[in-house]
This record gives sequence, C-alpha cells and structure tokens, in this order.
Amino acid sequence: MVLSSPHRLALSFGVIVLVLVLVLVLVLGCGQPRPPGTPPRATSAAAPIRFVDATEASGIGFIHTDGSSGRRYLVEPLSAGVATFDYDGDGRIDLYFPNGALLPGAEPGDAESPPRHALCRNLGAGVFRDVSLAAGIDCRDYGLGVVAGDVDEDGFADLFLTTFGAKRLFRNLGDGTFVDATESAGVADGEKVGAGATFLDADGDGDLDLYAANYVRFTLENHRPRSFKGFPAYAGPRDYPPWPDTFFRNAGDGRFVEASVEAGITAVAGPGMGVVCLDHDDDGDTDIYVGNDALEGNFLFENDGRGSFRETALSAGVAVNRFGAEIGSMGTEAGDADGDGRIDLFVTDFQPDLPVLFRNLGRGQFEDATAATAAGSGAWQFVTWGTAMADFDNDGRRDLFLACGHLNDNVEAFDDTTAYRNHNLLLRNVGGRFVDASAAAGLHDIPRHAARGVACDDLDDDGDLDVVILNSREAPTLLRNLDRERGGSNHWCQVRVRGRQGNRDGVGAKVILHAGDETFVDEVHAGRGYQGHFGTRLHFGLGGHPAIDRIEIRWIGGGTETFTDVPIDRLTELTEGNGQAVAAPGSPPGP
Amino acid sequence: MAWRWISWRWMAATGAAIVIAATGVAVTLARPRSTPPAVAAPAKVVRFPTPSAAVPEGYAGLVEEAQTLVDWIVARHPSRPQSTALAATIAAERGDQETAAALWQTHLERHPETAEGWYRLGLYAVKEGRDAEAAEWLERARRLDPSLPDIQGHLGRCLLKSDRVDEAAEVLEPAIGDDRGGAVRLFHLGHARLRQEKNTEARAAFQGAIDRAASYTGAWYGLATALARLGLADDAERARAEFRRLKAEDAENAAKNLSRDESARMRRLLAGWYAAAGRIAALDGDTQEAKALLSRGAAVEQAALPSAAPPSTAAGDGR
Repeated sequence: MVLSSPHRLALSFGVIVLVLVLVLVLVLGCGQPRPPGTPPRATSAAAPIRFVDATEASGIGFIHTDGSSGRRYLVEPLSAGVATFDYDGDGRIDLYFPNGALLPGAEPGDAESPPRHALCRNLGAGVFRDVSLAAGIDCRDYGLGVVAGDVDEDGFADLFLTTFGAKRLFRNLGDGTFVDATESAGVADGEKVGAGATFLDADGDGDLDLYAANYVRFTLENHRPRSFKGFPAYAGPRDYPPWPDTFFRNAGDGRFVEASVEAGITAVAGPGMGVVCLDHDDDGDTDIYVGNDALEGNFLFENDGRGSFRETALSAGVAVNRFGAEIGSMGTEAGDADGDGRIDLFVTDFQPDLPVLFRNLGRGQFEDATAATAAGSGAWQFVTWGTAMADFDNDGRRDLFLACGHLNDNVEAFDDTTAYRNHNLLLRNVGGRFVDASAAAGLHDIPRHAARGVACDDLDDDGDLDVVILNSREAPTLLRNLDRERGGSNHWCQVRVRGRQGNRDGVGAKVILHAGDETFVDEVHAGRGYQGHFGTRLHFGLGGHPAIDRIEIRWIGGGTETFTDVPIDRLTELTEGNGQAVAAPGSPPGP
Repeated sequence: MAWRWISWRWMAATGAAIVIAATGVAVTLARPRSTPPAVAAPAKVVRFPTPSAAVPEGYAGLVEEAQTLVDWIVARHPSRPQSTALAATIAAERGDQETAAALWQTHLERHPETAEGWYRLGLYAVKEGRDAEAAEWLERARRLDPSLPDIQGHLGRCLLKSDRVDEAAEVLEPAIGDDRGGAVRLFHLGHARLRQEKNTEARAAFQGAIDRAASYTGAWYGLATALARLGLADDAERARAEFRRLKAEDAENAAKNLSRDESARMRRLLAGWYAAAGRIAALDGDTQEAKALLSRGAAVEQAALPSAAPPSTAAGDGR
C-alpha cells in the first residue's frame, strides 16, 4: 500500500496523538493521589532485590499455633521468634521454630500430635526436614524466644528457649541430638512470660553468659479481658507490672548462676521483648540493648568490662524516639546502617508509630535518624515485629527487612487503616536513605500473614541472604533471594569466626573488613531481632570490590588480629590466633 | 483503496479532537488533587432518634444510637458542612476512616470551598501515614481558613515528615511570636531546626515550648538533644533529668487512663454529637427538631455522669 504525502503526514500525526493520549492517561492516572481510606501503596524503588516464596518446595511442615480460643490471653500474640543456625556442623544453616501450646479453652485438636517446636535440618537444595524428635527435642512448652550458642565450648550450638513458663536449655551433644539440660544448668528461672535472649561473654572470661528479657507479670489467673471501641482486644504491657530481666553467669562447669542483682540488671524493670548485644561505645566489651514494649523506655546496659552493668539508654539517646516518646519495641537489631564503621540500632514499633533507627554518633552517643534516613518508610500502619539489617543485594549497604502483622485478629473491625495480615516490608538502602522496595522485591505477591519473628541467613549457600519468617497461627514463610540467580554481579564474603581464648563462636567479636577505600563492620551476635537468632555466619556485601585487602578481628577478652588473603565470594573460617583464612566446611562455591 | 476516503483534513481534525478529549481526560484524572470523586452514599432507612428511650449502657448500643442520629441529620440537612462533619466524626470514631473520607469527598464535590473538609481529609491521611497528600490537603485548608484548630501545627508536622524541612520551618515559625499558645508548633519547629542542624534555633524553639507548657515531656527531650549537640553536656543532662521526672508522672497518668470506662466516654461523645445536631437543625430554622435533639443530648449527658452506670469492661488495649 502506498500513501500520498498528506496521508502519511496525517497518519503519522494520528499515531503520535494516540501515543500522547495513552502516555497522558497513564502518567496522570498513576500520578493522582489515592482517594482517602484506601490502603497506601508502597513506593517501590527500581530495586534489584527480588525474593520468591520457596516455602512449599522447602518441605517445611511446621504450623504455628498460639493456643487461642477467643479468650485473648496476653501471651497469644507474642509467640514467637525464629532461629537460623547450624546445629549439626555440616555447614548448612538449619531452622528452629518455637511453637505455642494450647491455652485454656482451646480445642485440643489432634491429641496424638499436640503442637510442638520444630527443628528443621537443611538437606541442601532448599529442602528441610523436621528432625525434632530424632534430635531429642520434643518441646511442647509455650515458646516465645530462641537463641543459639555454644555454651559448653564443644563446637556445637546449644539452644536456649524462653517460654510462657520455665526457660529451657537444650545441650547439643554433637551427634545430631540434644539433651534437656535445663535443670542441671539452672536456667529455668521460675514461671514467667519470657522474651528475647542473648548469649554474650559479659566478663571476657571466654565462655558465654546469658541475658534473658522478661515481659510482664501475667498469669492465666490474673488474665484481664479487654475491649477496644466495643470489640474484644488483648491486654497490653500497661496492664501488668513488668518482670525484671534475668542475667546468668556461666560457671564454666555446665551450670549457670543467676547473677541479675550483682550484674546490676534488676535496678530497672520493663516489659522486655527483643534483645541484641553490641559494643555501643567501642570500648572492647559487650553491652546489651533491650527493647521494652511501650513502657519505661528501652534499656542500654553498659558493661564495665567485668560483667557489671549500668543502665544508660536515656543519656546515650536510645531510650525513646526523637519526640521523647516510648517505643512499642518489638524487635531490636544492630548493624552499620550508614557505613560509617559504627554499629547502629534499629527497633520495630507498634502501629501507628514508626520503627526507629538510632544512628551511632560515636563516644557512646546515638541520635534518632528515622526521619533523616526514611528508615520507617511504609511502616506507618503496621505493627512491626521481627527485623533484620542485612545486605540483600550485596551492594555493601545494609537493607532492612521488617515482619508485619497486627496482634488483634479483629483489628479491621475498629480500625480500617490497618489489617491483621499484612505484607512484609523491605527497605532498600540507597546511599544511606531507605526506600520501600517491598513491591519490587515481590513481597506484595506473597500471601499475607500475621508475621512475628524473622531470621536472615544464606540458607541455600549461593552467596545471598534468604529470609525465614514465623507467622502466627500459620505456616512459616521461606523467602529465597534471587540475587545470584538473576545474575547479581556484586561480590560478597561470608566469615565464620572461631575463638580459642575467647568463646568458640566469637560472639561479641568485632569484624572489620577493608576493601579498596571502603570499610565494612559487623559484630558476631547470638540473639537478635524479635526474640530470635540469626547471622552467626557474618555476611558482607562488597559491591564491585574485586578483592579484600584485610580483615581485622577484635576479640572479646583478647587483642586485635589481622587476616590477609581472604577470598571473595566464599565462606571463610577465621580462627583466633592463626591469622590465616581457611575455607570453611560447606563453603559455597566461588565465582 | 480504503485509505482514499480518509482525507488528511479528516485525519487532522480527528487528531485534534483526540487531543481535546485527552486533555479532558487528563484534567478529570488530575482533578482529585483538588476535588475528590463522588462516592455514592448507601441508601438507608432514616428514623428520628427516639428522645425518650433509655440511654444504652453498652458501647455498641451507644454507637447504634449515634448512627441513627447521623443518618437523620445527614438526610434532613444534607447541604450543611456541619452535617457531614458530624457523620464523618462518628464514622472515624468507629474506626471507619474510609466512610469518613468518602463523606467529605461527596461534600467537597458540591462545596469545594469547605475548609473543614480538606482539613479532615488531611487529618485522615495523616492517620494513614500519607503525609504528602495530607500536606497538600492541609495546605488547601489553611488557605481557605487559617484559623482551623492548629492547622499550622498539623501542616508543619506533615511537611516535616515528608522531608520538606525548610517549608515546615516556614509554616511553624510564626509560633515564636504567639505568646499565648503554640507549644506544639514550637515543638515541631524545634525538630525542623534539628533537621536543619540549626541547633541554637532548635534550643530556642524547645525552650519556647517549655515556657508555654512546662510539663511538655517531648519538648524537654528535644531540648536535651539540642543542648547535647551544642556541647552543653551538663545542661543536656539536667533536661534529661526533668524529662525522666515528667515521664514518671506520665506513666502514672497512663495507668489511670487505662481504667477509664469506654461506655462513659462514648456517652459523653454522643451527648456532644446531639448538641452539634441540635445546632444544625437550629441553623436551618427547625426549632422543634433542635429542641428535641438538644433534649436528648442532655439526657445522654446526664447518663454520662460517673454515678449513672458502673464501669464496664476496661477499655483500651493496654498501650
């Protein structure tokens, strides 16, 4: 077909006009503000981070229960954190899911198999198997928190659980089984509503001591029915006096000695939830940061280096948010958010308040940098629980993952700005500011739950960090990070730290990685997030750096040691005293 | 050939028509920035609130009576912004912000110059964390009526949260000259100054807030932050000590508030809503109706006295 010039001109004009119309409609249609009342849509960054829901393929059969019957006992929404750790030393990261238990009034369900906790062994290729009973963990306590640590220095991670009731210690025998050592270790601590816990070498004597937060003095007998705008609701932290937290000193012979008063822990009391350790003032010992739920402000226990503590949160600037308001703290996380070499703190919060990022200014001082960094982006309407500050795209900047879900399952009836089940949040760190990248990362495409604990580790050993989420009353979610599959070109390095004079897992050690003109800093934590545990194997995204110049480790109770010849894109073991980097068992393949 | 019947003039004219249509579509789509789309109100059976009935004791019964009231007042006096305000307030109290916002949207379709409508929409957006939209609507409300309750404070806070720090400071700055009130505005101004790293001005703003409201805990904390940044460690510690003392008082008060009876609070609210409804009826010259509404309000208020009903289930979620 041949068209005359005027026809061609007219046709071209028509096509251009149509395209313009479409563009105008699209641009203006997208640009208009949403009508009030509809839930806000996350602003997604052009993020390379992408997750896929790998739960079904993982074979994880665990289903959480909160044991509820409609009576709304205070502990129901608090269950539970989650842990990722290598229990059998095969180099693969395994999973531990605490579970609730039936509370009065709840339907007994299947009497043959009442709810129990689940230890899931990583078989590789993204597949897990529940080995709880074979491993000797038949725990049916009302689980709230979990932390892993090698308390007897035998090379295998033991498990400490906080519950609604007595605390529990399962000692790892190193043959794939555990034995309940609660009584012999002396860590039961009466009947309390437990919370987050952390192992730390408080006195630098080379073994792991234990800090366990407690919530409030709730019992089934003093249960208070509550209502909100005529609807039944859960009681909260103001309804009961708080328990002081508990500190156990490791006696070195398999026993723990309760030393809360001597350590200065009981000088204050708050409704504790998440706990994380860090050397906040860079003085070489381990301090403890405790998130308290809406009351008392958060606690920062400053260590004098000998295992005695002084509460200094207000002076340090981490007790309350910048407006002077207490934070409904749920999860606590520590990491270098702004890449300045200092460990910052992040705390999740109750709706409608924002989570808070406390930037470490040095000299033990912090400042609420939430507004300046947009670290609360997209979180306004959500109760946020578990959290992880982790580099999901290996660009050298730590992103934030937040687990979301309301505690009241009927919240929509009296507050249409939020929901019981929500999508989770991924805040991508773009040059020190956080951008809500949840939608781009695929989190909006994944079924919504009432999420609680979150743990981040490289579960498939491919060089990027995956995520596991404990969902209240439902199956957990396993998110596989697709960074490597999608051709992510940034380099990375994973480090497993081994102490000799100090504790065997190097808990509390500060690891400083130098690559080109950049420095990356992390500390080895045992216990973090919302009453959970993850990240004992440190993961550094290196961006485009093709090599590591050196890694310095400042050991707890020891000096600083430098390791050279550390390879990139691998898991490496760095052992105190030998100055040599060694490929770790189960190391992911190199490039 | 098929193309021959399409003259280039026809094509040009069609193109121009499409441009005009596109412009129309674009304008229509862009309009919600100033005038949100109408939302059809559901049809309801409207009945007058029974003036002589016993005042309900439970929260749910009170809410039901409030709904009866609002259905009546909106049906009888639809053009009054006060009717919409009342209906939206009651919806928001029930946690139904969507309905509250839709009511104002409908009203603003017809009366876009209603300052209170933009103000309320802005406050709903604030509650949902949509600060940029909130700022836009509050700014519009402020232009229409700068005397709306603490409009500068709300707008300044939204701008601050939207990272428009300089604009926030500009909106909040007049509070310095307001020697009678403005503590909250000065508090937010202090935070804007901290964000601007103007620590001396931040200190002055927080101090100003404290001068106006000595027990303003947040302002004491802001003052401590500013003083610490200025290197005045001892002064900062003194401000923190005062903050700590006031916080302890706050905690006691919070515990008292927890035992507050939810139904009694609702009865007080309902009494106020009847009074508002009575005023609306009076504005439209319906004296009989106004009297009936005010009389029912008085009965509800009487029932709200502490002796009228024993405290029911404790309210609040303990936070």
